[in-house]
Amino acid sequence: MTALRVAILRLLDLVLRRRRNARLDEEVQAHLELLAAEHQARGMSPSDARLAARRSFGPVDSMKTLHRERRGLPLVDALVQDLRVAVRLMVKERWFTAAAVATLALGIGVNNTVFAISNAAWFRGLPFDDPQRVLSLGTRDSRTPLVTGPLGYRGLSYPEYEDWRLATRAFQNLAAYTDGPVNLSDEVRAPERFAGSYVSANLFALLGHQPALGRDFRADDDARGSGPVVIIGHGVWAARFGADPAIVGKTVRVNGVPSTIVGIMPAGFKFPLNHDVWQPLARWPGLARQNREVRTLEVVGRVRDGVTRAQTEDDLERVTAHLGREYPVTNAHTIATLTSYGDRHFAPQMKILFTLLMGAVGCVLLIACANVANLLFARSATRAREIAVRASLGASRGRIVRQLLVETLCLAVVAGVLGLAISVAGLRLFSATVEQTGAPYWFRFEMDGSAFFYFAVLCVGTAALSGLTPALHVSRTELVEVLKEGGRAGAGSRRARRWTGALIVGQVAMTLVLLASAGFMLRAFFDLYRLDVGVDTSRLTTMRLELPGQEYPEAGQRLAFFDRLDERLRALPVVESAAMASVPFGGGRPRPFSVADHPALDGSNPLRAAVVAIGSRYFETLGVSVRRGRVFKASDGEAGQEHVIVNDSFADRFLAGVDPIGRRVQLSIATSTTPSEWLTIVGVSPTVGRLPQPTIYVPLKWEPVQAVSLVVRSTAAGAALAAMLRDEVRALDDDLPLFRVETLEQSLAFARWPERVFGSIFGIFAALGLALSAVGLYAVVRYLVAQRTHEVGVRMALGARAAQVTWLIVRRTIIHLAIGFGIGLPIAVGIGLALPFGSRDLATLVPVMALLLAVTLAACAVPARRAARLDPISALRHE
Amino acid sequence: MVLTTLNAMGSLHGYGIARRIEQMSEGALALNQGTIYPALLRLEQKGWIASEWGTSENNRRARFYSITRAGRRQLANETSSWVRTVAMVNRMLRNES
Repeated sequence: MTALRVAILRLLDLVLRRRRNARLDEEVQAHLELLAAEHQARGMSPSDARLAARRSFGPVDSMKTLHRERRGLPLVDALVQDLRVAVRLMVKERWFTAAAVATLALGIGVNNTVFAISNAAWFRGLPFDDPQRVLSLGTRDSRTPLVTGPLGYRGLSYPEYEDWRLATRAFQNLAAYTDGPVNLSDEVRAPERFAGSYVSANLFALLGHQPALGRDFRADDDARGSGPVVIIGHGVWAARFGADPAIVGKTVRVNGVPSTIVGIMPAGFKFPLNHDVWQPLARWPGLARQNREVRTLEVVGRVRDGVTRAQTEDDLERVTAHLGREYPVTNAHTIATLTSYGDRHFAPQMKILFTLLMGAVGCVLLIACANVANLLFARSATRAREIAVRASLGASRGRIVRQLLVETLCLAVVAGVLGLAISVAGLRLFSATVEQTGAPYWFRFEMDGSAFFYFAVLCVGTAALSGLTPALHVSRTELVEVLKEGGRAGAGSRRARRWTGALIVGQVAMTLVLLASAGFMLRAFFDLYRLDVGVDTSRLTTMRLELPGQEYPEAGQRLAFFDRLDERLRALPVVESAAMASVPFGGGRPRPFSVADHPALDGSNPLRAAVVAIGSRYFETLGVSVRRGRVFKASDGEAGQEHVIVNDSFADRFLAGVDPIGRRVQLSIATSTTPSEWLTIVGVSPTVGRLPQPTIYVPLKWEPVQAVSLVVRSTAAGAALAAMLRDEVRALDDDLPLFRVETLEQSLAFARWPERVFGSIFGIFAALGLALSAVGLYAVVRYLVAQRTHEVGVRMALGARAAQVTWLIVRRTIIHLAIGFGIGLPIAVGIGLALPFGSRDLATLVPVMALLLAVTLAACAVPARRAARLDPISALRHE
Repeated sequence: MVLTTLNAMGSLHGYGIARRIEQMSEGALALNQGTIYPALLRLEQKGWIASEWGTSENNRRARFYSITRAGRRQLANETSSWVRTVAMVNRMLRNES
């Protein structure tokens, strides 16, 4: 009890300090006067009495200190005092503080931003219940190599899904879903297209999410022939229906079919990626023509508690083996793939990217810390005297170090606040930039608990990193030396110079690494972004159109639509030329094919090429003429007229040295494993598109796809053109929206957003790092050289020539630079070779090194020459 | 000692306590008088003495200390333990000789 009481009294004292000090003073005064009176009574003179009183009382100040220490919490007292001194110093030396704070703020700000981004995309995980237990299931052919990431995923067929669901023991539950675009229309509003998903009735429950309004799907919703129902997302509800709660139970036309809205999902839920509208799986048009070979259903499962990953894999192996025996034709070589849901959508390249990004900002921060450390070192020279005096008055080394660290911590905290502001702004910017790119919905780029924690660690770590070495160094100042030499020995000492030299070397190395990485990435990004696409892109606009499977299940229906649309487009006066294609401009997932009468290539690597279905006038619209052969005629694609056109890349890669015209190829078809009939090549086109990808063009008539892009060359553009085209489409089908209207340049830029975004980020960081380094190097080198003015004076007085002395000084800096390059160069080269993409062109390093060299030389040459030109006497007097 | 003094003399200020202690020890303890204040603080923190402000002989404001009930208990405890210690030591010495 007493201990507690004492503790409370001590805490109280912090508050009541001043008053108690005053009271003690009063007591002491009273005591002294009484003593003096006593001595006076014995016959002393008043002044002697006072002296005698003081003597018998003892040393007042040390008693007061003892009293104070016993009264309060000495540690807190000391820290508060340190803090006061630190703040006073910060205010007094404004330029220094500004420089240090700005530097650290940049370092902390970018680090925090990148951490928050990585946290959102990678570390934080998924917004499900117990997300570790939610796994993504897929299939693959055991004979082909495993490909990880989104591109390597293949789903299940519906019968397969049912079989697995019933047979598996490791999973509590399996649920399936698949994409299906949704056109919502009603009497009141214009039709709009949304990304939609067909989901099994148990999916939301499996994930642990409930609709915010209304109800979830029930098992009977998912039965064939039940009334059409739909659940919509929060965004759609707010934007289209004005967040009207009465909308639950009302009807909208979903792909033309009147359906009842039964539920609204909570805000922020857009499973699986960016989807807004969900229908029961039973309404999936693909269900009708499902056979075991068509594997487009994505499946997730929740593992039972206590079941390990190995057990899950074994269980699935059992299931697939059993199916393999039962259905040897389709399932003989089918095995299961198992990944966490996050990994399924997060390509391994992204992990490398994020790691690199964190490394990059780490470098920037280290450079910033090195800069500030150097600044502190430089300043320590001027403070050497003050420290020496304090030490001689009894301050222990730990005390001095503590005070210096508090100063640095103050700087770091102020910088941190600034950095936080930078962070928040940066996150908003990043969020806005990636919003249009279809990033998964759980990427929420904002500061959360762990980000704030990281931020706090950053501040403290930064303070420690930049402040510790200078503090330790300064506190070891030799008292006698300093007081004797008038403060010069402080930073001019050999130890200080070694530290500063080491910091310079480190800075140079890190800047080199940072700039080199940025250079590589920027090169890669420019390579990909270059619009050297072989097409006149002026006045070209693209837009996308999807014919829902529910309404246009037959190829004939789709073809009829396309033909009618083509006629209408041709009739528009402002349209110079228009065409349809499955993808507007090269690209598309490669499909296997084979060539007739061709020496077979290695069987385990089936030949693959992109396949693009094009309508009439495609090449004409693009402004591209075929090199050999001809374009498609109206009759191409009909039975007996199965013709294709290939591009240059294809011809060079697969038919080198022979005339492609007249050769025959066979393609795989999406809906079955049996390949197509033999198709004859009738033309060779130039390669268009960013990447030289071998491409086979097939007539739209032969493969009438569900979704096409319109490519339109017209003097009209933007909203006006879009409105015109929408009207044409609406005239044919009321429920069909056009979406993703953009110029060709825009759509190209869109496609490679990771490289674009990350390339620019790296560029910014590199510029930042370079700026920081340059400024830091310049300041420190200049200061160091100025320190040696005295030495220069001595040498000149002893007969050295100006040029010699200048060279002597510059030489040391060049040595630092060389060592820095020596360390940084191998690391930079290593990174360049390890990057999965980006040019391996090491020539980017040369201008980088040249730049650093220039900056450093400028920094040291100028003061060196100035010192050399000084009259020796003033140089000698220079302190 | 402070406790004894206050117990005997009632309420005193710092000077008075110091003087009294000097007197009682008949000059054998000639400490600096100022050292009494940290000691008084310690006793006050432990709750064995209490203080209040009053006027001293020479019409100055001064702080007067007095013993509390807890202080009296503490004094009694320490006194008896001291007596016991002395008795034990005496016994041991007698046994030795």
